[in-house]
Order: sequence, then structure tokens, then C-alpha cells
Amino acid sequence: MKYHSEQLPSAIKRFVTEANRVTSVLETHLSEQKAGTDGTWLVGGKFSFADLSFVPWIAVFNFMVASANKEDYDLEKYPHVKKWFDSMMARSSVKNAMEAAFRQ
Amino acid sequence: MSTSSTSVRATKLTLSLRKVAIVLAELDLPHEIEDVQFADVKKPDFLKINPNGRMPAIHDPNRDLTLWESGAIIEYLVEVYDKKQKLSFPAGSNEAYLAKQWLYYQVSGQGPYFGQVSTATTILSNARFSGAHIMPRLSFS
Repeated sequence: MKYHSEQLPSAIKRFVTEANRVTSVLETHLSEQKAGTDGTWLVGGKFSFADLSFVPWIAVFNFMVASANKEDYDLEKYPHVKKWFDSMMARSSVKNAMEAAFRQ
Repeated sequence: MSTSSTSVRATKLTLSLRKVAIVLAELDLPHEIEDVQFADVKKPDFLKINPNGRMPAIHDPNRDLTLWESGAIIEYLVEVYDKKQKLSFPAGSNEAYLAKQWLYYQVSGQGPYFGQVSTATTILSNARFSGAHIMPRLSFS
């Protein structure tokens, strides 16, 4: 194992803090967008590569960190992000890609 | 446009590969994913593909182009293959630049902290997870 074998509380704390900070930025932006015909998106009221680029990372936090400890990361605290994320996870392209990642 | 299969080299667990895989699926582009082990990315064979020794990297036989860095790969795929703008915006429009802005934010804001699932889960496992929870089997409704 090439990674640190010791616990690194400061690194973990920074990690969790940064994840929440980035999610807050997304939450604020999404809350200010007009809904398009198929949902609320980061740019131009339209689903784009910009939206989907965030999905894998949020999925990891949502499924791993939040399932272990809601205090660390809880999408319920970010209702606009949650709705946006859930609508992308429902797409077959996203679902298949993420299932393949987690299955291993 | 008829396309030959694009080859993508990555460890299947990397989050960056997932981003690229979603774009390939959304654009319905034929592709093959070669599973590269983390242990091999600093070896000469992979360094010939990406001198930075990180994944993913793609090779597009239609243009004989090899590219690495997931953000650049996504920009390439949508610019070349998303002619109907299913996932993108007209070149030169404000929306096109705003979409790039968010993509760069994703890459630079998250990448340094969360480049790879294995890194993340290793760190997280030190924090809170027991082994059984590191890679939960997920069910998607």
C-alpha cells in the first residue's frame, strides 16, 4: 500500500471541509438558476458536460461518506444539489458508469 | 460521422474515468476501456501515453490522437463529436465559456482532493470506515 498507513486527521478534516465548501458553491449557484424544461442546470437552463462532470465525485461522497457519517457530508443540507444530482443519477449513462465503478 | 472505436486507458475505479465514460455514453460513441492497474501508470508503457503518469488517457483512431487529462478529454469529445449539442453549447457563445468554467472548477476544485476513489477510500478508511464499508455494493433504483 503506497498510501499513508497512519491516520491523518488534519488531511481528512480538510478533505471533508473542502467537499462541503464546493457543494455550497454549487448549491448557491443552482438556487439562482431558472429551471429549464427538464430541470435546473449549471449553464443556460440545459444539461451539459459541466453538470455531469461533478457527478462521480458527489456520488462518492453521498454513498460513502454520508452513509458512514451524516455529520461529515449530507446532501439533504443542499436541496438544490440533491435534486440536480438525483436527476443525473437517473440517466442510464450515469447509472451505468457509476454502477461499473462501484461494482468492483 | 462513422467512428472507429476510441480506446480509453484507465483504472476502472478512477472517478475521472467515470466522467469520461458518461460523456462517451451520452454521445453514443463506440469505445473500449482498457483496464490499467495503478501500479503500472509510472511504468514506461503508460508514460509513453501520458508522461504525467495519471489516468485516464484516450486514443482516438479517427484522428490518431492520444489525449490525457480528463477535462481536456471531455472538451475534445464534445467539440469533435457533439455536433448536435446534446451536452454542449455553440462554440463562442457565452454558455460555451461558462460550461468550461464549471468544468475547470470541477477539475481544479475537486481533483486535488479527490483524484481517485482508491485514494479517497483509503484516506476515508483511516478515518471512519471498516474494511467492509470501503466499497459498498450500491443499488440504483
